[in-house]
Amino acid sequence: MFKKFLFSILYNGLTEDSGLKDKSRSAVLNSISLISVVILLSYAVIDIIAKIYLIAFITATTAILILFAIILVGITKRISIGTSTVSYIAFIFFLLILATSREERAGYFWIMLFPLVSIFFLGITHGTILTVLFGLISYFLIFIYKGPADVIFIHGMGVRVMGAYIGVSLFTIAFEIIRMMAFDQLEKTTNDLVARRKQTAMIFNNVKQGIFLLDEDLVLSEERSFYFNELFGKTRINQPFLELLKDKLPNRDFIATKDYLELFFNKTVNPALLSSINPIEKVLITFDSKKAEEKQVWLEFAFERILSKNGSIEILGLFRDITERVTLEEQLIKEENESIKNMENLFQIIHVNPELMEEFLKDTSDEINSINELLKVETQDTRSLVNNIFTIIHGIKGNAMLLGLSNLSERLKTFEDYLKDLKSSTATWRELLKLTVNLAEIKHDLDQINTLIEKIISFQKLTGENVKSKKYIFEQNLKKSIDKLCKEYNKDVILDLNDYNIDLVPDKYKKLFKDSISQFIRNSIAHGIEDKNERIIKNKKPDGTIKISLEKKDDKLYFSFYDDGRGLSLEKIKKIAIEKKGYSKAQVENFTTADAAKLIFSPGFSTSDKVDNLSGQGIGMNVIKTHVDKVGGKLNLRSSSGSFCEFKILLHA
Amino acid sequence: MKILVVDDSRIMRTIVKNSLLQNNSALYSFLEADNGVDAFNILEREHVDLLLVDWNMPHLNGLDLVKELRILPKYKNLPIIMITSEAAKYNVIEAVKAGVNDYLVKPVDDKKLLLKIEQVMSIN
Repeated sequence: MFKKFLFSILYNGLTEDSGLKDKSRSAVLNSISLISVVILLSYAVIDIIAKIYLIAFITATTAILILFAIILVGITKRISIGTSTVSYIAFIFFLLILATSREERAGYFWIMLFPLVSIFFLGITHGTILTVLFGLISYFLIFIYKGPADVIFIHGMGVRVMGAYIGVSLFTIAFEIIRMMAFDQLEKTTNDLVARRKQTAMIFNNVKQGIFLLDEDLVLSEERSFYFNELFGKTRINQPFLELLKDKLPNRDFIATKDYLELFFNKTVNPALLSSINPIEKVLITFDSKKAEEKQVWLEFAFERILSKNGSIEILGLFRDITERVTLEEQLIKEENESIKNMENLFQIIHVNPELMEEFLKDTSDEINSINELLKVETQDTRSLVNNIFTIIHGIKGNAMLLGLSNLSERLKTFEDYLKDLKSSTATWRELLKLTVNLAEIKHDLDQINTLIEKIISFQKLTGENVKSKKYIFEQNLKKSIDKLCKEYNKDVILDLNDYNIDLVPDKYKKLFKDSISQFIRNSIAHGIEDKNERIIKNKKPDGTIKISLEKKDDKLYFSFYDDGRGLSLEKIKKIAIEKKGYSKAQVENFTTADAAKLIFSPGFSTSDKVDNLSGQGIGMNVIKTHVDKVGGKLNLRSSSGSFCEFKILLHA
Repeated sequence: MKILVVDDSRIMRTIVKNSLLQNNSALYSFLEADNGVDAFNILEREHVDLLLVDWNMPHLNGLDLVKELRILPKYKNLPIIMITSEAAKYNVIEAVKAGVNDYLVKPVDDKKLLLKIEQVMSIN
């Protein structure tokens, strides 16, 4: 408290950027002024008591003037006001005392102070001029001016006083010159030092690089960049560097790093070799922050062997955050792969008819949507769900392979394998959710192909070769689904598509044809065509035949689906009519094939004995009927019990 | 310059020898060993200027051989280059720690081998 008060007086008038010179001046000025004010005031009091009023008045006025000067300095923050004021007051005051002092010759002593005060406060030039002036006036006062009547100067004394005055002046000048030189030097050094420290601090604080030094025990020195602390936090004194990396690196890398850093102290190891085997040149470091989430940073470390002044080796370590770079690199690689894949896709699809490809993409995208729908429904029976998905994916894969989309089919194959694994155990819902991710990826691939197709379709024309392939894929798909159904129902079927020209199917009927054919096929294999043994007994060919044909005549399309199975079983239909549809026995007694057909095409009718998911998947005859009616077509059925069944559709082309 | 080539594969030894002989057949003469123990015995018997050693070998593997040699004062300054298929950085660090002067990853590149031999011989 007292110290603070004292300092506030000593440094009265100083500002923050005051230099050393100002500081020393201020301290001396303020202390001298304060002491002189106190002394002068007490002299004034003594003089008043002694009834020497003139002197008392001069003394008191001087004290007040000095006090005034100090306050002025405090207000203006300009020390030069104080120093010149005090110097000039001293000038006048000391001469006054010399002139007025009586036989005790107090003035002799006072004048000795003047060179000190003026040279110190006003500087060499100004101070010396004033000192010389002061000396001349003093000489005048001592030897020429007789002063008040009762003052007698002893001649010899005056000579000695003047001699001493000159001596003090010269010494003060010399001292001041030396002092100034020393000050300048000191100030320069200090400024340099401050600037350098500022610079170092600036570099260490702003550089986005970790900079640190390791000694022979791999202990960190205190000098390090701000970024180091930012990343690794504050470390304790004598912190071993490796402790910071512990648990942040895989153990093998950690051990390698330790060995590696130790190699730096082996002078025989080739520095070029050393720099090429840095195990943490690019390393992913995991910082477990206090928050729940971990922070992962890619760092690039570099180490350099340096010789310190005392001959010992130290390691200069550098690191910087290269997360952004690594992320960009990864992204670039991903994009490159993507574009390679795009190129491959392009080459693959360029050989396929774009319309066919479009159809494939549309169907596939529908299928994937249907899988997504399946996944949304929470069933207990995940096994059959996985089975269904597997079947669909398997189908898509087959088509992709047929079209030569090897990238896509490979991806689907991977997915299929994953599903196979799931099939062998009961899949959890978490695992099933993973499927949606896979599906999204496949969908992404499809979208890409789609974009490419759109580009190609704009300049690629339909060619004969491609028509063949369109027919080919249709046949393959159909054969595939027939094979599947045949396996399921243990039947053998030969497909005849000789009279089926797929190119006659206009776009508007594509869905109708697709749905109808698949429904009729299910129907034939599930109900119509007999198994091998039964056919042999009935004296039929062992393999059943399905013939699909399409003709165009006079703006009309004639579609026919024929199988040589057992035909409509009137007995079965009659039975179901009674059981499910509420017909009476009398009503069904005289049922014709036409009546039976009507029933088959009504909603909620199925003659299947088996309850299985294959028949269940069919959209039903009545949907076909509705669809045909809607487009203004006609659906007919012809059948002969025991020998065949034929569905006919007549449409406007 | 007498070079001891230590590798359990005769083909590998031949490749190394040939790649050096191609350069300057007059300069080099070779000794061979197919395991660490034999290599050590040869070193005890004859003066060798340079040791080219594989890592994975029966009996005494290359790394252990180097460690053993570096313990003995007379082999302290023997130039050793390890030629191996262990390419990971931590492998190299381990080898350098054991005392090899340089390291070359298989397949052997003629120029690299020559450069490394030159460097190693000039330092020692």
